[in-house]
Amino acid sequence: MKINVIDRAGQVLDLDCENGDRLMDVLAELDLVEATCGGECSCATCQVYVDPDWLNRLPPKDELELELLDELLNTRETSRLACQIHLSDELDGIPITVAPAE
Amino acid sequence: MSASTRVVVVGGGQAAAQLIGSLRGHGFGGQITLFSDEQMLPYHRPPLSKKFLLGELSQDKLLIRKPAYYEGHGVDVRLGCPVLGVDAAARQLTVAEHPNIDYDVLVLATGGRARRLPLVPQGMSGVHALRTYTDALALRDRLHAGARVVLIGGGYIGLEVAASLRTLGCEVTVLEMQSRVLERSAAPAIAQRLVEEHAHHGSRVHCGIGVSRILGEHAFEGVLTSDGQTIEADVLVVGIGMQANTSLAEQAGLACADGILVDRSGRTSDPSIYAIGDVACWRDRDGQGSGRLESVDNAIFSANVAAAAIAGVAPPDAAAPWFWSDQYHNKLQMVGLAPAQASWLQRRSEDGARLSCFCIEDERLRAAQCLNAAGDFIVAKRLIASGQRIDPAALTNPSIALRDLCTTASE
Repeated sequence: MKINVIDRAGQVLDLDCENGDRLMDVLAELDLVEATCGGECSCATCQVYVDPDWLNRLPPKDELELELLDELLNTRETSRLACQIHLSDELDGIPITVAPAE
Repeated sequence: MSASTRVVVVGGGQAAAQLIGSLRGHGFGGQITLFSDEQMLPYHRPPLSKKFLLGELSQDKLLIRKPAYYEGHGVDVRLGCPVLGVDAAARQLTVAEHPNIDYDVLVLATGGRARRLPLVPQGMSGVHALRTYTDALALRDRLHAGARVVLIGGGYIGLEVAASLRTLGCEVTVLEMQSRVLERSAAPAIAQRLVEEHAHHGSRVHCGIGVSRILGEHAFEGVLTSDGQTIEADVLVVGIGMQANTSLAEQAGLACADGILVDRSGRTSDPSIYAIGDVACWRDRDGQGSGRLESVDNAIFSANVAAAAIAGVAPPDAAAPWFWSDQYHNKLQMVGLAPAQASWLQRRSEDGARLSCFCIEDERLRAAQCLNAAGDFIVAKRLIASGQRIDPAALTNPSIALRDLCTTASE
């Protein structure tokens, strides 16, 4: 499967990934997000904007993700933390924009 | 740096993985070779004491980058391949069976090793430390519900392992020589809350107690404590910190103190050699203090700084170092370094579930430690970075949103 990513420099990338990958790992592998905490929902450096048409295919945010997003800058209604998104075949082709670093 | 530049990285931990990713991310087209004495590609260490020990995470999920990344990005990875010597004058390395490996830039990411307890006889079975994947696997294989475990050292590793082992049904006793756990690293109120949590889950945490003898001949059978208690146990876990692996650097003639001394770009006393991660000892971390920092954040930052210098691009901005620890369902996030005897201001939620401690210096926020208060942590990072003046009364008043104290940041 693939995901469609716009990175912080505005480049459009089609990235290969596998069912079960975490979105954060796919982005961090190419240094597109810092993801310092390795996906423990601690650092909040993996904010992305998800295409609004795809938002409802994602599982809801838990309390911790909500709290972090509440305090981050540059958030939008479509913001999610990439460490909380597990990729599956239903998400093949999902368009993602990496949010700017704080 | 030109496309013919040969970068050799020694050590295969988080810092090494980040340096490689960062170099290729900057478009560095030269040769990159990684030598690691471990058998596994660079992996996340923090889960070893938590999700991995609990059996919730498989080996492949620990990898920082998949094998295909290294292949696809022209990185020559040599696992199980310790570097035996460095000839800095000739810019050559000696690796088993390969006497002369040339480099233009050498990056030492040799990390550290778990500090041993001299009292423990060499080769005694049932004695464990936790630093590497192999360590974690060996400990995990040893555990069963009801196993009696003594943990020496009430630091983050000790407490995280204690929480995991208790969750697995082990009987856990933690012995800490200092008068409290996390004495050098956490605010007293935070440490107190964590100790209560461990007690609540049925672990014993004894502070101010040392070990005077290890019981057992070939297999570990227990400890005799400095106050005369005999604690019988099946497994001993020693979590008393790490020692930096500086021998290669020392042999190469690099200036070392507690680690390998580096400047703000991660350069050692030899301009062709950098040191990053746990082993690097900052002479001056760009206004953020000096010394070694054992953390993922520092591994990543130091790697990015060195990668920028090697690739010839602008360095990343320095920020206050940060750390985290997860114990049971408690999330502790810390930012900034507080002096040893800092006085801490407290901000508690009404139900007591959230606790943040703040260290103020010259009317500015210097450090924050947030327990189950992730939002406070995000704002505290911003408050520290801005260097703005802070009203202590507002900081400790939970009815004022912390974000309302930010005067400089805006969307």
